[in-house]
Amino acid sequence: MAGVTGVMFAVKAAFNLLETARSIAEARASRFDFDVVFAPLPAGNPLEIARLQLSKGENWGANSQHNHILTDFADCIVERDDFGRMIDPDAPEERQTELCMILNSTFAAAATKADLQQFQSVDRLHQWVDKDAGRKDRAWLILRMSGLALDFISTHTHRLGLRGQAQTIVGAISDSIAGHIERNKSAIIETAFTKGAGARIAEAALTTSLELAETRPELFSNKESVQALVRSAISPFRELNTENAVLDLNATERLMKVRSVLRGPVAAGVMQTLYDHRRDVFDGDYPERESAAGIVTDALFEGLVSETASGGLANIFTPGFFVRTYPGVLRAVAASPDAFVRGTGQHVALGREFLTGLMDSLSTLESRPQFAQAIFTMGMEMTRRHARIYLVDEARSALATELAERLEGEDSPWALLQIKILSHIANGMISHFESKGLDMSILSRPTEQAFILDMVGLVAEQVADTPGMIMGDEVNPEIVNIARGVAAFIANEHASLLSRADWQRVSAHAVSLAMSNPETLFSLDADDPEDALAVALVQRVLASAQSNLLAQADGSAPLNRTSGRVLFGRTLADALMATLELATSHARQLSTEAGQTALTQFIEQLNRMAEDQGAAQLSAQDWIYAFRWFLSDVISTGQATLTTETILGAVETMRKGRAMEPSTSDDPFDFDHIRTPSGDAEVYYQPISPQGAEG
Amino acid sequence: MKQIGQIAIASMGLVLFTACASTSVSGPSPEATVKEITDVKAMVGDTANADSHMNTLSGLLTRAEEQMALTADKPTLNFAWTFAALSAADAMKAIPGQSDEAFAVAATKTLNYADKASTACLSGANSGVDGRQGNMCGMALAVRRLNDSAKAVQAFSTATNAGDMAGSIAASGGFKQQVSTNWVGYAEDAAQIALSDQDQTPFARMALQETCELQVAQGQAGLLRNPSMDEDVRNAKDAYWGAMASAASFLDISSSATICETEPDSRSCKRETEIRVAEICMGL
Repeated sequence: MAGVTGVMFAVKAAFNLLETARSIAEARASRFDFDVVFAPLPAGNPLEIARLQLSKGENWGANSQHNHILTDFADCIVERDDFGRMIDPDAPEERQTELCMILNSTFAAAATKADLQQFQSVDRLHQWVDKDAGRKDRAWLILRMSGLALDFISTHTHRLGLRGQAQTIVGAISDSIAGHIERNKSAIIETAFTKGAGARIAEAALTTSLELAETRPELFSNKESVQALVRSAISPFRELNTENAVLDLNATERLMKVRSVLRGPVAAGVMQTLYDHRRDVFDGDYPERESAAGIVTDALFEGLVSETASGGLANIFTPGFFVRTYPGVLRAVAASPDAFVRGTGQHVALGREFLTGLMDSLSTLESRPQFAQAIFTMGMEMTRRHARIYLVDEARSALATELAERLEGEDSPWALLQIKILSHIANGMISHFESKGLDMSILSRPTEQAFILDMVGLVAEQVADTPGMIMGDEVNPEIVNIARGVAAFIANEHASLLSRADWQRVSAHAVSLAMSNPETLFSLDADDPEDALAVALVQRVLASAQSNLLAQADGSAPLNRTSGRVLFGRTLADALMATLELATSHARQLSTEAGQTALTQFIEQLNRMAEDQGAAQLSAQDWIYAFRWFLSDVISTGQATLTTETILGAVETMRKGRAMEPSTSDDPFDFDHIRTPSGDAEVYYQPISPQGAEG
Repeated sequence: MKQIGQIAIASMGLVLFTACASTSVSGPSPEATVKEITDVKAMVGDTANADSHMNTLSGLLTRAEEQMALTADKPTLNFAWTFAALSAADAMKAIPGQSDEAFAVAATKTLNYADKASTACLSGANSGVDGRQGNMCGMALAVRRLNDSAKAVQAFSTATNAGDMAGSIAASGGFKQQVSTNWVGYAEDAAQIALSDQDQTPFARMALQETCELQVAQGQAGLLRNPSMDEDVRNAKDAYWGAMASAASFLDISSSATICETEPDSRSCKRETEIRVAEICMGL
């Protein structure tokens, strides 16, 4: 029965907090900055400019150097006294035009910056700065949490060991206060700092029962924990009433008192007391002291209490963030406690440290809140999956040893580093998009965010599988470099030749290669990610592919649906992967202009053959086959001088060989044999799973 | 372990609740909608795509109206959607070359939604308007105060282009009347909702925009380039100059011409003042 009640409370608490978060989210969605936009006015009408300048008195004063215009065009100007001077519509049209042009060219528009200054004050309207706004949100959360605490007391009186009548009394008190807060929360928030608020709150809160509860808590329970809880919940209201009764407080002073009650004793006191006596109050339902959930719940609880007491909660997390965070952390903790806690058996007071560490880890995304929550969730999920492997799988002893040292040492918990890595990857990629002039408003689209987050996850999964990348307390700069390089792939002007799925495949392969070949594909020496070898090669191949598709385009059919055009989509993705793979062993040659030119020429040669021979002789499958087969020779020699017969002969041989081999796959591209430069045994290409291992 | 069970169930509750919550608040936000509206408004000078712009704005207006209906029980959110609706209708008015009928529909909707929003703003804390939505309040009040001026400009354009000098005179007179009543009234609104301390609303710039719309309409109709000294034409010019002088006075725009020092109420001074306003409009 107790368990059921606990569950009910937990669910109710979750619902209440989420309701609060939702209300706050709705309020925030209702307030926003917006641009002040004016419909553009038509460009200056030359006839009007001529009219203005002809009529403008100061243009034609006695000393004006322009007076000859009036003389020269006397035949097409009419004077209409105080109605002004204007062009005679009956004058020859060419003369009218000539006069109009001279007036336009002689007199520039006379509006100055100073003229316009008073009208150009605002481009963007910001929601009002409301000093009370943040307070209202915080007060709302605190009230809600206080209400929850009181609700807990009310529904758990039997478990708190209350006796007889005292049980009823304390239940009634807490129920009354919780009910009062619930019924009047809007009014309390709105009027907390207005005249009479103290009296209203005191009226609701101060009863004989309050006095009784505060002074004689033993009547309610013989448990010290319950006595403390009752005292901490009741005392502030009683004190407020006592002071108000004896002091002639003015409005300001009353406000100060109410503020101190709401922000201090009621919220912090209840929370602190609950925390101090958490194991007694929560009885057998509180996580065991040494359990993972217990340690981390303690940590978060302590962090929340200390931040509530100091009033700094809003500086670290919004209420909604905390509400969303807690379940995610707990799920990750349950799977991998040691990823969060230094050492074993140490009872931690890490709550505040964890919260601030988390914020620090996400700090690079401070200006991109839409990504912060996703990155955090991703980090928790990765921690859940990977930490278990690291810590349990003895086969990875080297990594396990290093990680164990980290856990025993003074470094940050690994979960924080995980988030920091993700945060830096995301920031590296987004920064590159920004540097390439990408319209950042695109990032507000969920599909684009999802794609970028997919790519972030893809890089992070590879990083997590590479011990050297995650050791130390700081993010390895090579990770960021790789992330920026991957972003440069996608930011390429010809990136649309590949689907997103293909880009994910190419990027995963590039990152996998980069992990096992440090600094080869994404050198740290490259100031610009586009200088990295991998990026340069991808750009070369894409440019060749684009050039091929555009050549002889007559607009009658989509570019990639013309016979003989094969280098796009999956074929192109395979070509990119083969190129990157070869670059790991031929970096020196491919870093040179000669090497890259040979690569380009070879691609162009195959493209020409595909066009000349048609699909019957050189299909997309044959194209990639030949590319893989001859690429190492071409790069090694720097010469793309293979004869058509040589290539077709090899293709034919390969076709025969394939026909004789039992097929193990329906996938026509599943034959990725790459001949090594020395003609050694074939290397089988295995795409890297972007999902990583499941813990 | 019991706590873990609690947490698991609580988490399920969280998921369910979040799903419910996200369903009810999902879809485009008022902010995104207003952004889309302003993006289109910035392009309405592209007359070749006027129909496309009109259709886009019409769709955004419909979206805002639908959300207004769905959020009737959420005053703060409802206010934000009302603001989006008035922004869409207001932007529709700015599309050039539309018929008087289409303009009238947009203007009526603008006024209706600006009235609804303004009333909420002026009703104080009980209206559900959030204290930080003052930027929207300021704009709603401004749009309401300027809506009839826009109607006067449209009427002026239609009448003057058609050679209906009586209609032109009436429209100019209407514009002048708006300056002396509705424009001045904005300050009262602003004071009533304490905008005076926090108002960022560029009301003067918005009023200048309407003045410039009138000036541009005059230029397109060629009223002041008409050398005719017929009485109705002269009266139409006088009425137009009167409207412009009134607006210029409100906007604190004046001519440095000598005649304005000696005879500020003369036709010549009004003519010079109109030239000054026109130059400023061309500089925008």
